[in-house]
Amino acid sequence: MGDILVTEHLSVCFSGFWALHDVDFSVGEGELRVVIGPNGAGKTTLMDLITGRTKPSSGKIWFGGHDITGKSPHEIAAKYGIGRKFQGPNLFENMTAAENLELAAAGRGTVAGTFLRSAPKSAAEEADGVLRRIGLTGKRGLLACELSHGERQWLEIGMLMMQDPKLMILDEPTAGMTEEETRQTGEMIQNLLKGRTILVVEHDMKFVRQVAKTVTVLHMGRILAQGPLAAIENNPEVIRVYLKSEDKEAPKHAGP
Amino acid sequence: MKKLLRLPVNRYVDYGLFLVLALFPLSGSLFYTQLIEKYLVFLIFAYSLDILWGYAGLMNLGHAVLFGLGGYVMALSLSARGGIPDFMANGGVTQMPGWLQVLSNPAAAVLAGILLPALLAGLLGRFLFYSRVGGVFFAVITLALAQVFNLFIQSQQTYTGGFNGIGGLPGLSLFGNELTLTQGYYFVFCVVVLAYVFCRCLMGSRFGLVLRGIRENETRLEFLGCDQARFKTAVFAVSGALAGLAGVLYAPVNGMIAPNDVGMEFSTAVIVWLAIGGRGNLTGAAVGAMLVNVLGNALSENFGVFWQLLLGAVIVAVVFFVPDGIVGALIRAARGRKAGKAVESRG
Repeated sequence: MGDILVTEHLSVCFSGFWALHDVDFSVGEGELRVVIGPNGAGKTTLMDLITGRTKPSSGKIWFGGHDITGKSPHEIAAKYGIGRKFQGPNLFENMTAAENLELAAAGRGTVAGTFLRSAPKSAAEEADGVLRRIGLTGKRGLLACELSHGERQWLEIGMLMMQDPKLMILDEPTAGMTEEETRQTGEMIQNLLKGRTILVVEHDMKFVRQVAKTVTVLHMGRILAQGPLAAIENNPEVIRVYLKSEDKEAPKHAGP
Repeated sequence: MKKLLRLPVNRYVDYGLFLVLALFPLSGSLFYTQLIEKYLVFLIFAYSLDILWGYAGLMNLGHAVLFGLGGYVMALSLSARGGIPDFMANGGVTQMPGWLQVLSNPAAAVLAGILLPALLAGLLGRFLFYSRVGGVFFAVITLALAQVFNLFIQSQQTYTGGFNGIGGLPGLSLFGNELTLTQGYYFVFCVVVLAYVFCRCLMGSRFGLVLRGIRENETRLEFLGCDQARFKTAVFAVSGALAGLAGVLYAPVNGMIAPNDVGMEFSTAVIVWLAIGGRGNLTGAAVGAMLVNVLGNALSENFGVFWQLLLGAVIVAVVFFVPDGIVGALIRAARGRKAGKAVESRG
């Protein structure tokens, strides 16, 4: 299968600091790719560029054959079908779990289309199905701010399910989760993969080992290495800048 | 019956308030019926701000501009029924301008009084929201707009009556028949109920859901594929139309309109009603509008010059002790009890 996402010579400069430098990155259709790297390596910046939150200083981003460089976030999400879960919980706090899910699918169309009293039946059923899949059926009426941390992360993943994008970007989906929750999340993500491409940014190596086949390592705004998980784990360069500190559970900062 | 029992607590307040308002003319006091009729108009105005500020989180500090635009259009129309109005004649106008001839048709005036504010709001939204002006900046720009509009009205004495406003207006009439006070009251009451039903339906739709999403977390919504500027512009226009409708009713009900009704002072007043009553549930807007006005009236009757000071103290106390307003606190309390029950039954 061909590449669904391609970046060409992608660079972004924040007042003199090159957060990303000449990155040629590509993800195949239907692939689950994990991006790792020390803090400040440019992982989140790369996701910001793909989803339109940040405009690149130079370079191009292609998605499904379309040039999406510099398009607005809502256009990238609605028209091209890229969904994103942010680093850290980012929910509609004072709305119920069910409302959060409905909202994930509500705002895409025209304004007039939303004047209907309620969502089409199929959408409501879809929300019920998603609630079941993320294990929150019994908590549909609770406000997002009343849920536990792990449940909130799952609700975010549920919102992505409702959005049903072609490419799903998950920025640290297991941050702050217990080991058991992390494992469940891994299963959830592998189930999501059917018919989709997923890009995961993660720190937790145990989780990476659970889900990843191909891994990209970013370091100081460049791609340091890319390849099958086993090769990456034995790459001396990667071990030096990243994995060494990870396995010792030492503070996750860049380089020696 | 079961459905009625499951209603959120604030809906009982809505229906209770409407019941009281529907029965009020039976009290027999013409003076108070006339006063409450004016406050009924304010309810529509309060609803119009609630869908904008309460639901979508857009604080409009110049909301009275939209109200005033509708009000002045209607006032001009009413004053032109018997030929060139006095204030225009005094300004040297000898022939009825073409636009005023059009406006002297009641249907045209009602339509213009609703559509012009909607258009103004829509245009403002088009420029502000698409250039990503939001939050405090939106509030400040609308505040400036209120001041500009007020000055504009005062300076165009020939066409707006200037500082004195436009007075001596005839009361409400329907298809050429002037209504009695009680008839007028029930006519306004019906419009209020219609406005309420309209807002309930609109805010209960997915449109309302998206608006609340914008208020809660605009950025997240954008990454879910929502063009938030379009929704904000739409709700601003709808809110403008409702505010305009309130203005259209206000001119005949109050018998006059003046620059005070369109500027910062009245814009602040409606903000205060919502702050006291609570936002984002429609009930708070109605409760706040009624409470502040009735209380203000009672205080001014009993305490003379001190009434504004006392009202100010009440306002500060409410905002300080119940920041989400009286109805907001009520909903929170009811919700807390329900959640407590759920926990008990689970444990």
